Amino acid sequence: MDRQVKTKPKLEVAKEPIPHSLLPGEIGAVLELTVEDKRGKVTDHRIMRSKSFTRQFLELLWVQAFQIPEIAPYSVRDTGNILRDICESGFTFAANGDAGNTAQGIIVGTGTTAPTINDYAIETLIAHGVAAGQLQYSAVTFGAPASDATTSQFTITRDFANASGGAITINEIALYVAGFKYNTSYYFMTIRDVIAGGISVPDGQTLTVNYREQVVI
Amino acid sequence: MLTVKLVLEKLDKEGKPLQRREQPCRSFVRNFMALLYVAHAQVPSSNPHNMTDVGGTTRPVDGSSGDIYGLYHYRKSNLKIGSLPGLGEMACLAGATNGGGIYPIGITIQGEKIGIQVGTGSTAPTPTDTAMVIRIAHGRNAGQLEYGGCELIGITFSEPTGEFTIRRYFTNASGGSITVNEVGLHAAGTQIGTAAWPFLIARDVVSPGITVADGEILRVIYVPQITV
Repeated sequence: MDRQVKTKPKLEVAKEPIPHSLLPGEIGAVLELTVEDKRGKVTDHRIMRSKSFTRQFLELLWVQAFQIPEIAPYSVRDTGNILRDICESGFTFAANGDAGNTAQGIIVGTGTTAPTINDYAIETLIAHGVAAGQLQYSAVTFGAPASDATTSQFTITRDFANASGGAITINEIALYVAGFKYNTSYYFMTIRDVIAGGISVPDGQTLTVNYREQVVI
Repeated sequence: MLTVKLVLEKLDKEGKPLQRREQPCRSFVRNFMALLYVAHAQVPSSNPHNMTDVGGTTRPVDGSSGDIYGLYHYRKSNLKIGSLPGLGEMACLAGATNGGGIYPIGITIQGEKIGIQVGTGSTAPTPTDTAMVIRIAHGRNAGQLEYGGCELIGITFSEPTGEFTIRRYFTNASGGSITVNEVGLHAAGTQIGTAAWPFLIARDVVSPGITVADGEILRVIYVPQITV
């Protein structure tokens, strides 16, 4: 049976596995990559530490923890390389992109340049679609918070289906989230990871990316 | 990766440093992940995420802010850490459900309940902690400390790191010594148009405890820092 691409964001309450890759005191993410063929057979599976919160994560946390007001906004560089004035809001950190939305949620690319704290966008975006070099972005889904004796986490998930006719190698993965001011949402990259050696998604197969944001005691 | 440094400094009444302690903060708890989850997933008010507040009550927290047309459109105090001193009533923005510009302004939390907290409990932290073990109340009576405002200051970036500072002063005017054994952080969570509550998002044990004599001041600082 062919895999179906999720079209709407979804909240899951399913019990998620809790990998232990972070050290006590660290707040970060674990990145899990799974490639499956049309029948659901796993052809590649990797779990690694996400290394690269970018400055925008800290800036959005600052905006929300401080409750930066509309009349004195804070400027954050968006994914289009424009400084945007934003303030506290109900949309800060929103990552719930719909299917096909490459402005919000987990994003993939082919760039290989090592991340820096000042990165504001993925290096070479893989577009949504079925043409050569494109992947079909599903809706972003979420796994509810869970914890064990040492670790608390929640999960952000997106599927990328390859119907392009050829294999595509993903070298970078990012998380784009929202910030807001004056009835306008802007989008900011809060995480960017480069995958050593890349991960290949053959034609007809699907990559599932799980970012498990964690804190460890 | 994000790590957090915890600094405790004891000062005399003139502000002269008497003692300094620095340790890594190791104990952000599940409720911090829960507030980030609510924000990332835009948890709707129709299906809120239940969280236990610092009073031990289950609260339906959502990421909805609703009102498109109101003066305070889309405002939401989830993750709020900055706060007023002591008993000062602090407006918390919870969004609005009416869509007509009338915004609930009566949702408040006392300043002492949000931001950095101190206590006398010494039980080791766990991810499911939802409150300080024995919180020191704001005041000037025996066993109490006066809570100053909780400030956020100095966001700076210098490749490969970035950081900001969360700071609060606690003044001992109780007439006796008080030993601080635990330090924590409270952040706000809200239900659209209805209520706001404080949630414990971090708790660390300070060992050995720091004894603050009558007339002395304790300055507690958290420094969240990312490094690529």
